[in-house]
Amino acid sequence: MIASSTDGGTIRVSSAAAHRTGSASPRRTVARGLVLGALLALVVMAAGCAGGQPDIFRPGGSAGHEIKTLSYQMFAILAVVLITVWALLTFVVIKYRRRPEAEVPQTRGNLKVEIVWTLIPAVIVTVLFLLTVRTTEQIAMPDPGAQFTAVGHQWWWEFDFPEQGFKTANEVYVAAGRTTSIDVESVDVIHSFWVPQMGGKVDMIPGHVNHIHFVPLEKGQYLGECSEFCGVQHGKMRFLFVVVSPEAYSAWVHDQAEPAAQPSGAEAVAGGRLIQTIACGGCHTIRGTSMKGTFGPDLTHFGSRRGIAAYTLPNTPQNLLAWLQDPQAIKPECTMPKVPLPLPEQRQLVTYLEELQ
Amino acid sequence: MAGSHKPTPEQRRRAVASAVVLAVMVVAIYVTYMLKFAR
Amino acid sequence: MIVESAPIDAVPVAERRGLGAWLTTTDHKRIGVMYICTALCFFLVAVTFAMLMRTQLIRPGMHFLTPEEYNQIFSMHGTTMVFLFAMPLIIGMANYVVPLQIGARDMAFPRANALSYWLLLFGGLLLFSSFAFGGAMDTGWFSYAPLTSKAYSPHDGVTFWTVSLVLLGGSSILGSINFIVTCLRFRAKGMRLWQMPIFSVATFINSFLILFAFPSLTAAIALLYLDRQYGTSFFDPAGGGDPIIWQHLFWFFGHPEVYIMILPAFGVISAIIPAFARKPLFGYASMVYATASIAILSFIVWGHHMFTVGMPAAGQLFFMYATMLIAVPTGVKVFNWIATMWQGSMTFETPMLFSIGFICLFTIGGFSGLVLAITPVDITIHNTYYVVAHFHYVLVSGALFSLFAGAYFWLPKFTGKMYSETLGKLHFWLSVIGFNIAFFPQHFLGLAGMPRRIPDYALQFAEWNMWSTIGAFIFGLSQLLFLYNVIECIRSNRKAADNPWEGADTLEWTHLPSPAPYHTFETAPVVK
Repeated sequence: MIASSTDGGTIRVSSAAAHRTGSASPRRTVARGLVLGALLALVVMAAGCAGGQPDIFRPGGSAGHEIKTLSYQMFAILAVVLITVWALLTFVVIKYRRRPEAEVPQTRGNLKVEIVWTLIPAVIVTVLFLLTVRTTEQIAMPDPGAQFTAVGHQWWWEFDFPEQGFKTANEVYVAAGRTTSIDVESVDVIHSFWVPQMGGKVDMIPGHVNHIHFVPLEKGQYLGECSEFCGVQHGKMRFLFVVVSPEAYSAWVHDQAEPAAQPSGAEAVAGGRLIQTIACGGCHTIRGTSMKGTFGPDLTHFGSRRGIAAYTLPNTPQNLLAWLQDPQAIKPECTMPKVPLPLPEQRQLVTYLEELQ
Repeated sequence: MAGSHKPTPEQRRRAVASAVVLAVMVVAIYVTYMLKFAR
Repeated sequence: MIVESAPIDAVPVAERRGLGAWLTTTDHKRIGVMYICTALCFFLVAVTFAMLMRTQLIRPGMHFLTPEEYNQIFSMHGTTMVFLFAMPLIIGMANYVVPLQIGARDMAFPRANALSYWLLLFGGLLLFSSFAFGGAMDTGWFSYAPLTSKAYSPHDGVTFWTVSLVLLGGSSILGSINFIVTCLRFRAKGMRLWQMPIFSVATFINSFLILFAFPSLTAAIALLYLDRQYGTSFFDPAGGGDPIIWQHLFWFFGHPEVYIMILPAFGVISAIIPAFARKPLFGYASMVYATASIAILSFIVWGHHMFTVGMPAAGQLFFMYATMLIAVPTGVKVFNWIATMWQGSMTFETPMLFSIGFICLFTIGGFSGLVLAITPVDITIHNTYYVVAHFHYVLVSGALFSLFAGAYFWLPKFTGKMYSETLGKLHFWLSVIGFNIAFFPQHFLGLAGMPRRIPDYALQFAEWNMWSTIGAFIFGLSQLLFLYNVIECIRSNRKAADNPWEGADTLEWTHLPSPAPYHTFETAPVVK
């Protein structure tokens, strides 16, 4: 008569004839391994915290501090539970290793104990939930209405300021200490607007207008990343999010609203004339010229930007020249074609564009 | 007492009935989705 | 449950051998073996893809893969691991073991069982053939619209994916009906449904998950197929459609899908720990309730993949709380496993090592999942490497380690030979070390702001990426050791006892020789 132990049955009789093959495992090694593993994990976690990288635990935006606090509370609770589980495992692995003479109690359950360890996690989970609800209420803030619209394209960012009458691309300024309110859209596939140290991200979905608002606090330049896989160049779709004083912000808005600077110097003038005769205006706008295309980024103040091609490269004359000569070599399958002109004329274009401050 | 060698006709009937119920359920779920989204 | 009689068949059925016999088999054990072998082949391919990805990511500025190649490889890595490795491996093991555990002669519908296998094989081959026809799908394993539309994915990879998933989904649905009917109608006389061994119970409940989840996927890919091939606009806003519908339909399937991959794994652990602790499973009833609760809850949490799409606050709170609640039955399982070991008499052969490793590491994955459930935190780390770390902890040190545990546990029964314990332990330790070096740093990468699915990254992420690649290579190469162990076991002459595990006492161990004979339980056992 053999009874099964992995069902809801009764007394179990172990078969005397069974033997075990394989060497006796060094159970101390297992136990040591577990303890070492726990220590290693703690060390690694500490190392991760010590790294000098931007991360959500060094927030630059308003909700960041509350979310950081909530995260720490959560990590603390979960760490306690994790260490409890590991400690219990370590204990049983050491204490209850095979003892052939031992009488092994064939316990099949204990209702009271099981209720306790169902209720305690339920309580912990509910506590975490309530902490989160409280945090969510704390970080809620009134929305003054969108200041600009961020529009996702494969693979660049359009920033529209309709009230001030301009569009720009791939770089945007906001005022520190003021609520920044952004509508987001997309013209093609789903993208996602995210500046890591500002907290929250929001998806840019064609056919929808989504929204995000927060208060940037720390001045600085932050790299924004597209955070929804959007095709071949998803990895090269970044933007610069610049937090400045309110005065500097007003100055920026004022400058951006101006039409393109007039070129100075023979090279730039030639470039400015040239660019209006070739196909660039089919995709790009330079306000104040005949170029009014909207398929590609607005170039009116291109020279003032710190990056090219959605932060694929820093904005230098050499990089810009390389970009014009062969964009596909830098960002394959982007929709920018080569500019098939002789080198002197390419240089004229570069000089002109860099003067568009 | 030993059981049967192959499924009895009764077992077979019941098995097929169960399978039909499950299959109908799957198809019903699928059709509901399609009807909800097909315009 | 007490077995009254389970006579070994007086006249064994003559075994059919040869390629033709295998191609036309309807025997659940042979089909199980075919599933397992096919799954392991696809596993090798998917692991290779992972090595390629990690090579590209070893340092910034690598040009090992083009972005297009990288996108195909990460998409196929995920799709292969989910549909062509994890599911078939567990279905294969269940195919072999469940009828034995419940004393059935075979599955309820043996020919449908065979069809399920062939649908899997041809579905997988069809999917991979896309590499030869203009490139494989490159839109990620969950393939959001409208990136998958003809306009933004003009080549046929996505179409191959949709058709192949119809075959694979059909295979799974057919198999699930088979398992449910087998468990309902073909148990040994006297074995009540809730007296089945826990692994069979897990398979039974899991089959319902598959039946309720897969139609949603089938609907989604049918609509996608129509959009691509016939110009409809289900997901195209220009035609009145909405990309978010894809996300709802996919994730309504996709979240239960991850539980489809883990519940049978839990069942394996629940079978192994009692055997190696020489003690019954603690709290069989609550394990069954916990499994059922996880299965039901898994259908009301899909929105946690969509916190950033513009969901109203009430929706966010609902999905957040429902997701967090899943931690409760999961925690019950962990405590029950530890309680099973409590006052037991344990040995630590390879199956037990993988089971204990599973408990330690899966718990980390469960906790990173809890972190992700918290909406304001999720909105920050969504689509970063934190998510990648989370799901690899639950799927690799969760599902995969359980499958390894089950493989080593049942190898003697399948093959009649004993694997090498030294090699098994080596595989275990290399896997644990490699896996943690590969994936623990990814938590930091996510918290530092590294998005997922990018073939190159900013300089600040370089150091952790390098460590992750080193760990990935250790982990990936140690899986070759696993394959070697299996082959070495089969070719060795260490004959396994009918029951080499002192504490294992389900029917396949107590009443069948090793290897299990060609036909089993022609005469059904009777239990009480």
